[in-house]
Amino acid sequence: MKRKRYHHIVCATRGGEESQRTEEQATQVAQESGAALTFLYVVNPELPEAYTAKFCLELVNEGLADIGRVVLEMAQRRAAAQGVAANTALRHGQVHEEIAAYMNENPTVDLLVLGRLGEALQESLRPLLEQLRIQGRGVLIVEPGTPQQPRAPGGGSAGGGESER
Amino acid sequence: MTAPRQGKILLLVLVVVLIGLLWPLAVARADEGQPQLTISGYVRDTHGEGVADAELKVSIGGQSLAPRAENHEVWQTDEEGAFLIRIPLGAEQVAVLENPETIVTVQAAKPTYAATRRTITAAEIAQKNNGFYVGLDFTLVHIHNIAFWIVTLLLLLVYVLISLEIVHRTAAALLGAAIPLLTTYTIGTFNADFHILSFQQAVKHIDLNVIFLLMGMMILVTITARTGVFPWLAVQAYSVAGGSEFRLAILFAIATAVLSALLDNVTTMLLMVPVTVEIALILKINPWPLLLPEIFASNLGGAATLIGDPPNLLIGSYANFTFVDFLVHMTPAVIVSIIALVILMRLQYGREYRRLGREETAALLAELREHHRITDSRLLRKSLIVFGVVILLFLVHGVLHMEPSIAALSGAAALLLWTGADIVQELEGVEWPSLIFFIMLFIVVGAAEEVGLIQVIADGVNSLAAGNLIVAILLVLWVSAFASMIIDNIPFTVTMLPVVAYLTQTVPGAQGGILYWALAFGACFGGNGTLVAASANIVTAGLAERAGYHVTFRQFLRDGIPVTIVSVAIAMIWLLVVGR
Repeated sequence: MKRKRYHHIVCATRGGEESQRTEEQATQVAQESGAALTFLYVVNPELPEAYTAKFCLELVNEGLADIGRVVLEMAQRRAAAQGVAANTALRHGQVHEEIAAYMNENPTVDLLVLGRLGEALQESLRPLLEQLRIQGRGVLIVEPGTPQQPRAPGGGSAGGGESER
Repeated sequence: MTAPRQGKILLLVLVVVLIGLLWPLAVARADEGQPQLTISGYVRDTHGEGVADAELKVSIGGQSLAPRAENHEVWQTDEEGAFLIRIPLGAEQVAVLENPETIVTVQAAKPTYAATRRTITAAEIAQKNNGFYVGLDFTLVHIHNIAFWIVTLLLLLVYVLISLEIVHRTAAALLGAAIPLLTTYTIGTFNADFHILSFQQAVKHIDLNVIFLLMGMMILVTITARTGVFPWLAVQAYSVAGGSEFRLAILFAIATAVLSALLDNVTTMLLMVPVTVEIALILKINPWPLLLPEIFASNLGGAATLIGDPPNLLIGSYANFTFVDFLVHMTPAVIVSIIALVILMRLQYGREYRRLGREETAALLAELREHHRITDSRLLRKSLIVFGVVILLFLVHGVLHMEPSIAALSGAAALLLWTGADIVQELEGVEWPSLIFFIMLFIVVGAAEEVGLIQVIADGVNSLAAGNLIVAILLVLWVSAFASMIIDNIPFTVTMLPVVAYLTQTVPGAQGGILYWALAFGACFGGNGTLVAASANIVTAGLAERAGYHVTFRQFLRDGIPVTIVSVAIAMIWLLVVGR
C-alpha cells in the first residue's frame, strides 16, 4: 500500500504516556513524508472544582501554560531525537474550539493527529472531523496499547490501533 | 461666620449634649421615687444555654402587665438569656403585692419552644424600701413542631446537594438560608408552628470574624502571589534536593505543609502543582509520586494553625482559641504526622524515586530558574514585611484580646495602601462565593439550632459517649475524619460546633476544649481519605490530568486511606496521652 505524503502535520498533545505514543506516531509520519510537524497544546483552565476568584483563574491559567510549554518542549525534544524539527503552538480555551480554530487558520495542515478521545471530546470534535473529511484533510486517531500504523484519508487497510475519520 | 454667632452655636451644642447626658439620670431619679417590682433571672434551654430573645409576660393577681411603651414593646432576654424586668407600681398594685397570698405569674416563651410559666406568691418576693425583688430562672424545652421537621429536611437536602455537587455549594447554602427565613416571614407570621428564625437571629448566627479573616487573608495572598515567590520557593527546594527525587518529594511536601499552614490549601496547590508537574515532565517521571505527598502534606499542614484550614478557622472563632493555642495543641501532632507521611511514601513509592546525575540536575535547575523568577522584588519585600506583622499579630492576638480577623484585615489594608494596588483588581482575588457560602451556612445551622435539631444531635452523641471523655474524644475524632472523607468538612464542622460545645460542658474532663481539637484533627485529616474529600485534592487531580496524568478514585484511595488512618491514629494518641 502506498502511503499518502503529507506537507504539514499537527499533533494535538496534552503530555502523559498516552500522548507520547501519539507524538511518536505523528513524528514517524512526518519523518516518512518529510512533512512539517507542529505540536499543539491547549490550555483549558476549567477544572472540576468550582472556584471563581480571578486570582485563582490566573494561577490556573499561568500554571497550565507553564505545564503546556514543558509538554511541548519535551515533545519537540523527542521529535528532534528522531531527526524531525518540530514547531509548537500553545493556545488558550476549549480544546475542541482551539483545535478547530488552529486547523482553520492553517489551511496548509493536511493531517491532524489526535490521541484517544474521551466521549465528550469525541462529540465536540465531530463537526471538525466531518469538515476535515469533506476538505480531504486527514485525521489520525492513535488508540493506546496497539501497534502504530499511520494511515491517510482514503488510504488502504486499517492499522491496528488507529482509526481514521 | 461672626464670633457671636459661633458662640451661640457652641452654646446650643453644649446644651444639647448636657440634656443628652442628664436625661437618663433624670429619668432614673424619677423612677427611684416610685415603688417598683424587679424580676430578674435567666432563660435557658435544656442544655443550659441561654435563650436569646425569649419573650416574658408578667401578671400580678391575675392582672397582666405590659412594659412601658416608651422603653420597649415586650420584655425580652438578652444574648445570654438574661432578663431584667422593672415594673413601676401604682399605690393599688403595691397594696396587692403587700398581700402575701397574691399570685404573681411570669411566663417565658419563644417560638420553637414550649412556653413555660412560673407562679409564685407575693410572700416569696423580697421587699426593701420602696422595691419588690424576685429572681426567677426558666428552662425552655424545644418542641418538635413543623418548623423542626422543615429544618431537618432542609439540612439533609443542603448536605446532599453539596456532597453530590448537584448545584454549586454556595447555591445550596443560599437555598438553605432562604427557606427558613421565607417560611418564618410568610406562613410563620400567621402560624407560630412555622416560625423558624427571625432575620435578626439569622444575622446573629453569622460569625463575621471568620468572614473577615478569610477575606483579609485572600487579599494578602493575592497580592503576594504576584511576586512569583511561591514557585521560586519550589525551585529552591529542588536545588536543595541535590538530585535525589525522594529528597525532592520530602522537600516539596514540607514546603507545601508550611505554605498550607499559612495559606488556604487550594491556593497552595494551585501554586505548587504546576512547578511540580513541570519538574516531573522534564525528569520523565510520573508526577503523582511527587504530587500525592504534596496533597497529603497540604491537608496535614493546614491543620497546624488557626488560619490553615477552614475547619480550624471556624473552631478557633467559635471556641475563642488563639493562634498560639493551635500551635500548642495541633502543630506537634501535625509534625509527627508529616514524618509518618514521609515514611509511608518511602514504602509506597521507594522504587520510583531515583537519583539524578549531576549534569541532569544542573540542566533542570537552570531551566526552572529561568522559568520561575521573583517577578517583583519590591512588592515581595513589602508583602513579606506585612505578612510578618500579621503573623506577629496572630501570635499576640490572644494577649491583646483582638479577634484574628482584625490582624488579617489590617494587613490587607496596609498592603493595599502601601503597594498602591488597584483595589478593584485585588478584590477580584477574593473568593466571594466561598464567603457567601460561609455566611449562608451559618444561617442554615443557626436555623437548626433555633428549632432544636442541633440539640437533638448533641443529645444523641452525648448518650453515645455516656459521659466518658475517652469515648467522646474517639467518637468526635474518628466520626469527623470519616465524615470529612465523604462530605464537605466545612458544613460538617459548622454543624458539629454547637454539638461539641455541649459535649465540652457535659462530659467530665472535656472543659479544657479537647473535643474541639478532636474535631479539628478529624475534619482536617479526613481530607486525605478520598479524592473528593478536599478541594485541594480535586484541583490537583484536575491540573495533573491536563498534563496527561490521570489518577482514579481507587488509586487515590489506596494511598489516601493509610495516610488518613495513620495520621488520625497519631492525633488520637496525641489527644489521649498529651492533650488531656
